[in-house]
Amino acid sequence: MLKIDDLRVSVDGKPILNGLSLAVQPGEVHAIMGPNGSGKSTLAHVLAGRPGYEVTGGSVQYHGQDLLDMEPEERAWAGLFLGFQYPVEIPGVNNVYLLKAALNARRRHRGEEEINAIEFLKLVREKAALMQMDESFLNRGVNEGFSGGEKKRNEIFQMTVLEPELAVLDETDSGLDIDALKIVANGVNSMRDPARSFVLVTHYQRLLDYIEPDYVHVLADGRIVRTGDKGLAEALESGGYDGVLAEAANS
Amino acid sequence: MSIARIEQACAALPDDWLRPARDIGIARFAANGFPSTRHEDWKYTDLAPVAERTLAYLANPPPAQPAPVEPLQDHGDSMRVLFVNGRLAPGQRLPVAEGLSLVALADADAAGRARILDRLQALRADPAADLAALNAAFISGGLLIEIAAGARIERPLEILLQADGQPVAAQPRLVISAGANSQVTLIEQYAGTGAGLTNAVTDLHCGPGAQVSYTKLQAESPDTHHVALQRLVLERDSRVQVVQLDLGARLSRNDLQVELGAPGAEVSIHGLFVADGTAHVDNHTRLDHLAPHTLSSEIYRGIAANQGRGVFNGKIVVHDGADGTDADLNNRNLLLSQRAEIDTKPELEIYADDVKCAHGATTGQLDANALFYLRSRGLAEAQARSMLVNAFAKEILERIPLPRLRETVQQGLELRLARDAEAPA
Ligand SMILES: Nc1ncnc2c1ncn2[C@@H]1O[C@H](COP(=O)(O)OP(=O)(O)OP(=O)(O)O)[C@@H](O)[C@H]1O
Ligand SMILES: [Mg+2]
Repeated sequence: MLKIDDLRVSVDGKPILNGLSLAVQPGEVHAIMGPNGSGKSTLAHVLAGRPGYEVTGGSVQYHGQDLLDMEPEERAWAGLFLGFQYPVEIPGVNNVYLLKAALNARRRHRGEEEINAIEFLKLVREKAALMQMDESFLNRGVNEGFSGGEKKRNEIFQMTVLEPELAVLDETDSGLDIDALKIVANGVNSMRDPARSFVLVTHYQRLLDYIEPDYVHVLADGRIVRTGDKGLAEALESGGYDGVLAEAANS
Repeated sequence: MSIARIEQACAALPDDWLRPARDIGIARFAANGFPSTRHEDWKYTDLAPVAERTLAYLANPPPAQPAPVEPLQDHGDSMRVLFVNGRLAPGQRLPVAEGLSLVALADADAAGRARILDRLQALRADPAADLAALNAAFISGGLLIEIAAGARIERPLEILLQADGQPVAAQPRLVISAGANSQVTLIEQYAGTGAGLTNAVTDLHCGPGAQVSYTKLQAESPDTHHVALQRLVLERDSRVQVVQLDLGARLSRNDLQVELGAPGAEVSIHGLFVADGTAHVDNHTRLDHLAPHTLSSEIYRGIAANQGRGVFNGKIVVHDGADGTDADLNNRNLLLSQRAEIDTKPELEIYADDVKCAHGATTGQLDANALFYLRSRGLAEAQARSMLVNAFAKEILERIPLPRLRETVQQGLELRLARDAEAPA
């Protein structure tokens, strides 16, 4: 469903992604690990269409379409979801109001009828319960005054309501306490489906104990330098990046 | 400006007890004329087009008896009074409520006349008062609103000031007095069609312990010129909540002046102005803390889109002896296009001790991170922008005391800005 080929991206003339390739098939879970500053968030942002990045080479196909040619909202309508590493606080925009508008924008775009108020409320309540989020969060400004962990939980809550086909979750596990990590993992697992894929950016193997990945990739210097299974994450956890990167350089 | 022509036009007004007051207005205006951009407070706002229109429209004075209008629709949630082209429309049944008195200025009794005259003659050395003098020169068909001491007026009083599209200079005048410990909600709304001119003066006097909610909504047609002076005088322990919305007109200038004249007086002001298209919106506020332990808080939000131009100037003067004053002023502005502009200037003058004053002003654009966040969730860019603009205005809009009006204003704002986004910048 997603095919990234030799992607090259610069910010302010500085190359960040240097020929990154990655293919994701329906139903797969890919984990991306890598040192700070290696370009993981850059990849996530470029996939979601954040302005400010210059694509200097390569291509990204999503269901055969040129993803890079689409506006951010068009990507969302096509089923892409980005869980932000740093979710934005938007005071004055109500959390559920945003969700309803987002859901209806996609429905309208797909020629479907808008969701009615009762159905929507039911959906939102059900997902809030799944994420063990107090309903008081629903009517607050988007992420306004949320703790770091609450923001991450809100991202996954939004994902469960919007039901994307491809979710790119950027360090959703960072800043979560142990219970919250389980809740978030549970939220993700509840959505696993043969037609739905996940790209999980994470620094910790712990997340992968809860969400079983099909592949683990190591991103360094703007490229995927190693790909393996869950065992690779365990090797990273015990040996750090140095060993794995040296091995990659030798191979 | 041809004073002879103004005098001539005034001579056509009815011969009532207001004539001497008109003469005072003419004399003052003859001496000073329209405010000039050479004056510091008027440097951004050129009234030449207002002067031009005033002169042109003198040839068409509003008929002494405007045509009767359709009775107003009663929404049940308010009492309503209608002005057309600056004058109380004839043939309407003025609302009746216990403790509320509504009287045409011309029909005021002796006590009312004294109150009106006092306000007509209160013209301080300030160009905004020159415009008030011009208004006084044409005074006719204004309204005296008195709330009896201790009265609690349950339903809001809506004063609708409409322009019917004729090329006239409307000179509406409201003289309002809230008696001791009275409570009232007043809403002054400007709307209409055409390319008219409004030169409005509103005086609000709050007796000891009075609690007044006062909203002004300027939603004139996009070709109108609107200037207004609002003078509020607060006595001991009185509290006024002002909501000031400037949403229409090609050119608009408001001077809101508040005198906190006795201990315990408290004013809160929530203002929003929107300049889109090629509109020019100028809000000047002046708060005089004249007595100890007076409180003011002022929040203004400004939005400029397309080639709109906004001006905000908030002056707070803490006079000698007004110890223990607490004043807080905050202005935030949003520019929605490259060519939009807002000039802001908070000014503090403090001559007292033990004073708590804070002020801040910022001007910026929509938060690019927030915009991307919303779009990444599937909101089209225009919808995301409109949501952020609404979020920005919300803090002010939610202060509008009448839910029906709040909704209308919000929808109107959304439509306007959506239209503006489509217009080529
Ligand atoms: N707007 C920008 N201007 C300049 N440099 C940038 C910008 N955005 C990203 N970078 C740089 O690009 C590199 C990659 O950043 P990115 O956020 O993608 O890293 P990351 O792998 O997500 O790191 P982390 O694990 O710390 O989240 C970093 O060196 C960063 O400083
Ligand atoms: Mg990152």
